[in-house]
Amino acid sequence: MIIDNEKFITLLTSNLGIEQEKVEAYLKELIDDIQNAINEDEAYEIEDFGIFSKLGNNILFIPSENLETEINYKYVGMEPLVISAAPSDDTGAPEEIEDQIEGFLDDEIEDDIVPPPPSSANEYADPFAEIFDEVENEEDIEAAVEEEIENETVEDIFNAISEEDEDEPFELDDELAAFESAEDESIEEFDHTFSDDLENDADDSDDDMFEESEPTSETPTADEEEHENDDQEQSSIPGPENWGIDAHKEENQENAFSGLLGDDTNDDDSFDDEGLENIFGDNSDDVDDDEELDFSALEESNDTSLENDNDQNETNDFVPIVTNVSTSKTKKAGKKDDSLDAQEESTAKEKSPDRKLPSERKKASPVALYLVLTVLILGFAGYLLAFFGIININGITPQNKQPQVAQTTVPPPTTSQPAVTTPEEPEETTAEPTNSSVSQKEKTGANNSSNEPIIEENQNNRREGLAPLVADEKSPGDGGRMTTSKSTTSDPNQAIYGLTGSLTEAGNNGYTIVLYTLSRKAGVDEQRKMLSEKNYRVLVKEKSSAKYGTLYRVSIGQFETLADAAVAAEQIDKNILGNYIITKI
Amino acid sequence: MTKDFLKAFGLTIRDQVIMKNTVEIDGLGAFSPHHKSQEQEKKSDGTIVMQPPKDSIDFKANMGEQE
Repeated sequence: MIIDNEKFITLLTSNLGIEQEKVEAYLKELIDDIQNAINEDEAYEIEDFGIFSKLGNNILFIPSENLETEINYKYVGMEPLVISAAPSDDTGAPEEIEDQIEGFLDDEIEDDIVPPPPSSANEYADPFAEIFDEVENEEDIEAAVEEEIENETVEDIFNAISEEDEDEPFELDDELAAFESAEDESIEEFDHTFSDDLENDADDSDDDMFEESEPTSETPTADEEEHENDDQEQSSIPGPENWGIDAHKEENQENAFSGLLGDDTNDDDSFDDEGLENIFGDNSDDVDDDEELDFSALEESNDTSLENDNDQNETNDFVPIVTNVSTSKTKKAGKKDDSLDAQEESTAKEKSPDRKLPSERKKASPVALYLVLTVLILGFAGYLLAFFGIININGITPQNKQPQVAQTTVPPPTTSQPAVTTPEEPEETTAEPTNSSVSQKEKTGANNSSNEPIIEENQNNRREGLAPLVADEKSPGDGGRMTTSKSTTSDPNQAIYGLTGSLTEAGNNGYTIVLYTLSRKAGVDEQRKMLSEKNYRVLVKEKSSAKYGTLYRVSIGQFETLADAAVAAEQIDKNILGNYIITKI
Repeated sequence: MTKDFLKAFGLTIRDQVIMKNTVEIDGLGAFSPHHKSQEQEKKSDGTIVMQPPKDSIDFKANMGEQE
């Protein structure tokens, strides 16, 4: 947003609290002063703001430090962050480096050491320089080694190797010694034939394999000696059966490594000639290769021993196999023990997945079991509640436990009771005392239609064996006609509320215990008479029902509160009480 | 022209520049904010540093125009 001159003056006026005209005058004066100073090639400073100066034809404004800091308040305190430091080697002038180089050259140091090249100031040193230097040195070393090899005689090599053999710490058993002797003999025979064959060869055939070596006359002997040395090394190395380590190994592991050493399946401690041939089978193969390459002329002249050896090698073709102890891979060429082990391992593997399943099942089973158990428990609890009438469930709650709206009296009056209504009769004849729990409330209505649902509901509840309901009924004037017994008096000594005695008009605003609802007037009169004889306060409420006609609700007692009625109900004879409900008069 | 006026003059321009507004004063010039973002800088000794961002005030003189 651009603040023009007018807005700026307005802001100044508001900040200063003086008239705008004065502000304009002050501003003009300031500008004139600045211009005059600049025209005179002088600088004009405003304290804590900046300096106006002229540089050539340009007018500069140099803000003060305070102003710069305040404007740059967001980034005050931030310092430059070093990302990469300068290389430390790139120090010093080139001349100094040259002096160092000369110094290196003058010193009596091996020529292989090359002074570090002068690096530019901006570039970092080559980290691979040293490596290349080493490589160059290695090349020289290799050349020297080759010369030494050429100069070495066969005897020197043999002697060196034999010394090494002597230094070996292995203790040879008698069996191994026998193996060595047998091995030596076989080797000598083999070498003898091999050397003879080699001597008959042309010299050129050796060049491919032994270019750098001594003349052809020497190569056979060298080869022989190398083979001998190899044999001796192998002979010096005890077999797996003789290693002390094997004693701690399991059978599987022992056989696992036997393939490397060319063990037979017989597990014989002593090596036969076949074992030797197996060990040297590779050499024979090499020999075959050599023959193919260099000694083709010797194929015809080879003795049958070689052929037999080859045949035997083919039959007992040893293929070094590294068996994996953990897997069930079997070896080739009829190694029975390994096959048995493999079978064991395979069986173990088969078991392992099965073993996993039960564990997995165990993990899953508890959860399912818990769910099933909870469902069963809840179902059983609900069934019990319905059975005992706490909960009304059709089909479970017995009919006798359902709250009976209309019922006959106790067994003696049942015969005289007419059929109240068809759905109620069978339930009335089987009236039994039930729990007088007042746990449910009925929906009431001021109209008769509302009372009908109450009756119907009570009938239904009775059928289902539910507890009696508390009917919150209105005064008789709204939905019914109250007929009281003739014993109603206005005796001042008579308590307003009570179970026995005579009815009082003041008590009609309380609660009463409804015993049953009858449809015939004659039955109502009889019940009233019977109850009155027992000194109960009998109330009869007449209601008309579209479905059942005129119904008469017989109740006893007048109580101020619901609790009083419930307490009084407990004192009533169960034969009289039966299935009752407490309702408002 | 009093010191209070000069002080108010400087503060008013400062506040507006901080709010990234450009203040144009006839006969003097325009004060505008300038933001310099962070950037890498290579020093003579080879070190590479990251300069932090910076806000500053620019002035462009325009003393020819005046009411």
